[in-house]
Amino acid sequence: MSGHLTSVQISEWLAGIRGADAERHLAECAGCAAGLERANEPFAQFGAAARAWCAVETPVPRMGAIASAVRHRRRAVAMRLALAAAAALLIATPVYRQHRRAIETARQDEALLEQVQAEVSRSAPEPMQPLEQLVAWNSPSGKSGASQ
Amino acid sequence: METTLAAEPVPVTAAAAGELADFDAVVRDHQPVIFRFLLASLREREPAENLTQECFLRAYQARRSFRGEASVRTWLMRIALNLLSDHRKSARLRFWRRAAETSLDIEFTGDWLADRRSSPEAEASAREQVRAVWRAAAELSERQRTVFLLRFVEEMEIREIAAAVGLQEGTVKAHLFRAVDAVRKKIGDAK
Repeated sequence: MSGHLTSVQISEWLAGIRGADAERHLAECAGCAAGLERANEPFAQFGAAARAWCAVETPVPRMGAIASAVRHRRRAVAMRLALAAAAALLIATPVYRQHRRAIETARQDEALLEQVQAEVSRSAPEPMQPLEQLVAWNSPSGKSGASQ
Repeated sequence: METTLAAEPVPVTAAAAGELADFDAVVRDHQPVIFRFLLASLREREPAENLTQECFLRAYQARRSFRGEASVRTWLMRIALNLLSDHRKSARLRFWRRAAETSLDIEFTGDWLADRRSSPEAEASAREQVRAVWRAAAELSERQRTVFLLRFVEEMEIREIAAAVGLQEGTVKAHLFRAVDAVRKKIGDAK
């Protein structure tokens, strides 16, 4: 390093940008070391003053307030969950009932269809069944009737 | 650039969990630091108090996700920075911050100098210099002011600041250089 530290190099040093050349020079040059110390002083004083000032301003740790806020948030979350569950139940109950009704209707339709199918498959209506048997007895193919 | 907390689910180490086991102690040990940083950043007592409380509330709720990769202070500082960022986004609060800055600036007279000067003149000069730094810091950009306060008020190492603000160390140094240079020029130290 040829000369003394420039103002920019001093700012760099204070910002943590520290080259080996500057470090060597500061070790050898008392003037630059003193200049760096002078440049750092307002920052050091500022930090110390801010810490001392804030120490007076700092409130006492409010653990109770934090714990209370945690409890409040938990209650709020629980309340939201309960409301969501109630809403889901309100929506789900009619849907479930409708679903059950649909199943029941389908079952009844099925039974009716089977009944209709049975009715339609008969060759004669139920009250005329004995007559049909008589006809079957007289017919040439009414073997079952003949055998009785 | 926004600072966000890492959200990846990484297993919590036993040591990390142990550090937060006594949460009352965490609050006792770190509340002054977090409050100091928020107060110096916001220059408003009430929001600084509220954000400090919110910071510990969030930390308590997220304590199981603390991985112990950074120190508890750095972790809390990241939460505080996120809260600060959210707080600053509100235009309404910005208005009140500007209004409140005046009163707090008057209060910050630099009377809190750590050591007493040799003469009343030297003491007055030092006090004025401290106030000049305070005023100059207020004019820095948000990012520059954050790294400036973390370095000179919180006395954090560059590595710690980088972890807290989520930037590379080189980027932190660049912000800090600009902040230091600007403040030095404002207070008439740099020619």
